[in-house]
Amino acid sequence: MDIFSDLIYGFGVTFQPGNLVACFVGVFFGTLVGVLPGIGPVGAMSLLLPITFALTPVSGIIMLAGIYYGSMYGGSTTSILVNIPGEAASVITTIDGYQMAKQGRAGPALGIAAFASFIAGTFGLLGLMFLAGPLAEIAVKFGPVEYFSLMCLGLSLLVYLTQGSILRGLVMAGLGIFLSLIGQDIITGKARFTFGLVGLLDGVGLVPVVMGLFGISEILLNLEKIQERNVTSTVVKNLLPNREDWQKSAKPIARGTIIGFFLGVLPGGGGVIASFVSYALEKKFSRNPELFGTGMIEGVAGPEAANNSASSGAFVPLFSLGIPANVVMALLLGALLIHGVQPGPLILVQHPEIFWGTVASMYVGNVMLVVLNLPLIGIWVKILSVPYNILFPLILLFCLIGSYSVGMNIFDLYMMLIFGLIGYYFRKYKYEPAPLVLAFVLGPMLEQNLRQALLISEGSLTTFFTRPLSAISLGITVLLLVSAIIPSLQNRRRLIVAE
Amino acid sequence: MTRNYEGILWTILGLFICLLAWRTHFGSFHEPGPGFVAFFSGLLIGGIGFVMILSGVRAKPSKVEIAEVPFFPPNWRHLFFVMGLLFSYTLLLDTLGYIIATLFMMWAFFYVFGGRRWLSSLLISSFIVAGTYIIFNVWLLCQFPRGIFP
Repeated sequence: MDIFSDLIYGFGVTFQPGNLVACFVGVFFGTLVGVLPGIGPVGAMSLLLPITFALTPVSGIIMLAGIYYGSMYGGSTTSILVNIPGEAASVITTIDGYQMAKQGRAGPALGIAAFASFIAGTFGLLGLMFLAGPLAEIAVKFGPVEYFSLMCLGLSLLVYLTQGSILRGLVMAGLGIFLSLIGQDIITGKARFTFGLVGLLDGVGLVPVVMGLFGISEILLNLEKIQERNVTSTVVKNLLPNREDWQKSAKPIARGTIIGFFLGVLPGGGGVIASFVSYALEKKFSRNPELFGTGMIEGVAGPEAANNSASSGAFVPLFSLGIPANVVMALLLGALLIHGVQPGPLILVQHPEIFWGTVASMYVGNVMLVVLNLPLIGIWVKILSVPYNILFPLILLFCLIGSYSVGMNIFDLYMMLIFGLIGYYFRKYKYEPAPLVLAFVLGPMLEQNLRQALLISEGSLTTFFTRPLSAISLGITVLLLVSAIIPSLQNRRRLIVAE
Repeated sequence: MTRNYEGILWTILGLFICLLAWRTHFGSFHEPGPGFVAFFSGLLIGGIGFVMILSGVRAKPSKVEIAEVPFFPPNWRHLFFVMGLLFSYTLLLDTLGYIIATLFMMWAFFYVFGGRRWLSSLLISSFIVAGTYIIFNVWLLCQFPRGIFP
């Protein structure tokens, strides 16, 4: 019953006018970002992050969270109508969603995507409510040893599951850790790795790094081949799925919700993996697997449910352990720290308004998204028609404004542009930026916990293997990293990632 | 880029980071210093680089690696133009101020990439500059550089 009284408290926080507006702005921009290819939720969150400085921490986190799960909704629109995924978690929706649109069934496809997302998001929130608290109670007993090991595990899982070479992923993680250490040492206050540059005394900013790696580099890559977007000319009608559509979609939605939630909780998981796994599962369960790819509504309902449920699940490790499960959560973690809030098991006690306010706002946000995505579909279609050569200068301008407004410092703009160029070449040569960003956010905490653990154990490394959770986490980490070297295990990983 | 070149790059970078970290004060396992974690991050990068060199030496060149990704893309002029404009904007932002610098930058983008006439590009840019100035500088109190304006 405590949970429900906390939830009512959360609704009280959410329905404050400022927080309600922040929720709406977040889900609106999230949908917009999801609809428009070229900038994903990470780039959008980093663009709006400076705006949150003018808000309270609660409003800021509600807005940023809204962008995340809002983009999951919006991504399905462009996947179904244009066959171009608005963001990565909607890639799988293009397979059957676009086929449905070509058959004149764009309306039911969009409708079931929205309803599946709503149902899954709602159940995902229930999971978040019931899991975060007990996990936080356990996590209070964790020490620096456990935190260090869990962060290593999270990082190695993300590297392992990233598309492409695991060796490249490890290099990116190493680079991210090094970059995070530039600036002042947390214990001695001594400047390190600044090369005499005053601008680096406060370290490398999160916003310039993320905007450069995800925003600027994405634009530079897109400029190589500006895509023509042929929006399906079919009039979008009959947004409400019929009885047969519901009968076919009910079980995929249920399965997608459960799979998505647990994959979202897992460090390194998230909406992308959840949607792929859900699609593969629906194909296995289907009586007509050969029809997948020709316009099966199950191929839309399951993955859309999975990616939204995963977005709720991803909040569990962030709030209960203070460890981000993916890059988006890493950015939210950065935002919380910038606002002076330390995420972790004590957040439910020290800042209940942030946890319960965010949870309640996600219920409200899910309702707003169903309203935004269905009746306003015509507006989103018109926005899709805006040519990219008009859109990208605007995105660049917002990146510049966003980076500048963090510290009112021209140096941050230079950093963003340099990371933009570096990010462009990283992605050309198949180096994924996600491990770098996650390592960059975790780096200071990783260092602090490691140094504390070694100080307490008087330099003994056995402390990491005598404590059970730490031993298990590090054991899995080592297994994952060893698989990078053994060729037969490398092939198996490629199969898992490819499937 | 073949594995060998990648490996050499990361090995050198890793060694450089290790050297920097050592000079910053590595400390010891009993009392880790400011360079402790950075040293191991450099070791990780350098170690992976070494593994890449070894795997590059042992592996037969694949068809993918033979067709290398070009460092300069076919439309490298676009890349240079965009980055050149962005760096110039950053360089002149303090001197000219947000309004003038942004107006010129947006006008250049719309004129070159948007395929519009210079006047319509200027009008659209003016609208965007005015809108962003009101939203960010006036409403959200983000202090943009004033430049030549008092």
